[in-house]
Amino acid sequence: MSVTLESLLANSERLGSFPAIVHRINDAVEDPRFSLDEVGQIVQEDPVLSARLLRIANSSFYSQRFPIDTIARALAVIGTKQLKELVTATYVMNTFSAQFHNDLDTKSFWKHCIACGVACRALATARREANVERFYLMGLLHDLGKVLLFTELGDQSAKMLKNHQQNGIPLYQMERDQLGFDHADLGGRLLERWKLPMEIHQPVSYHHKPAEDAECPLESAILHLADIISIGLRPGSGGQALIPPLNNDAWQVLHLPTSILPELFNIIRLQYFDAVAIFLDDHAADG
Amino acid sequence: MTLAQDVRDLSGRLLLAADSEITDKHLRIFRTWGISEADVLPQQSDSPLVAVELDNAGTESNLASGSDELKELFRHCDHNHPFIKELLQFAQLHEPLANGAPPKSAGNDGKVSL
Repeated sequence: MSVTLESLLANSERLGSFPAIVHRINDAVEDPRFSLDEVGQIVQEDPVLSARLLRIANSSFYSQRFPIDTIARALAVIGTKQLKELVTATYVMNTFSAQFHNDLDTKSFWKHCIACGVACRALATARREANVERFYLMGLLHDLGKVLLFTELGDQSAKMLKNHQQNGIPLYQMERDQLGFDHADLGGRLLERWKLPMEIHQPVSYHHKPAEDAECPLESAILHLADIISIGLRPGSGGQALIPPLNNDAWQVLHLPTSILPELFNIIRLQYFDAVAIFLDDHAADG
Repeated sequence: MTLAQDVRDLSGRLLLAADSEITDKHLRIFRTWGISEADVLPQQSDSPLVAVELDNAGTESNLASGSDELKELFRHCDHNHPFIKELLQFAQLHEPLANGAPPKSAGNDGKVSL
């Protein structure tokens, strides 16, 4: 039986699912009857999540003048809307890393995704977009389709990756040729299945063809450029992907002056190290 | 040198206020945040603002390092595109992220106190 996008999605439960606390926090944030303190009480049920949120509130993401030492203050700084994205980001790596195929370097994979998330967030900040954490989450999740491909196709997927690294053929091109769809299509559909908002799953689907996205052209353009930035800044320790061709339409959509780019790249670079320390914990020390 | 105008980062955060005396520490912070120019007051004249280029801003390592790796990484890119040009130049000037965080300095944790 040939592999189809639908058949892979049908098996996606093998990747795992989010713990109940993620849904409880998301529901509480959306429910106007819940106060900030009550949302904070749910957060505090998970000490690891609590510690991580405090680190995020005290990181270069938020640049607070004074230390934030309580969950209530951390939530006030981060904002409840952005809390949803950060909680999802916090759990997604723990939940899905265990299912990685042996040939996929988990740490390098997440470092690329974190760099992409930070770059998305920085580009959105430069454009003064609201709720920049949703851009971070979008970047963090943009390559999840690769994980599902590796989990389900194993050797075929590993061969395509090797061929890409040795011969420089874009990975998404090989996937389209061999499967009829690519990891971006698959990842977007997976996130849609998880009921993440359109502003996240749509750009993930279109990050290698941003000009074709009629629903979320700005988000897709940001993700396309952030993917390129994150590869260019070289977070992986070797054998990494080549930078895919830049779609000039995506660059035009952003309306950003070239003069801000060096400063923007510098901010991404600095925030990347903070984000790795927060989201990859003990892996931070070895770069 | 005295600063003529506030220096802010990309997100508008104040790094150093106008009328402050610029010290070596400030220059290090500006470089960390990618600021390569600042307006300073002329020392003994009433002439207009002077834009001073900060010396060697951003040059953390030499251009030659990792050039083959970068050539390979950017092989599908149009090197004349302004975005790619800036990214390549930045990548040439900075160590790969995989090499770890730069030495601890003011601004490294994002909390710049002047």
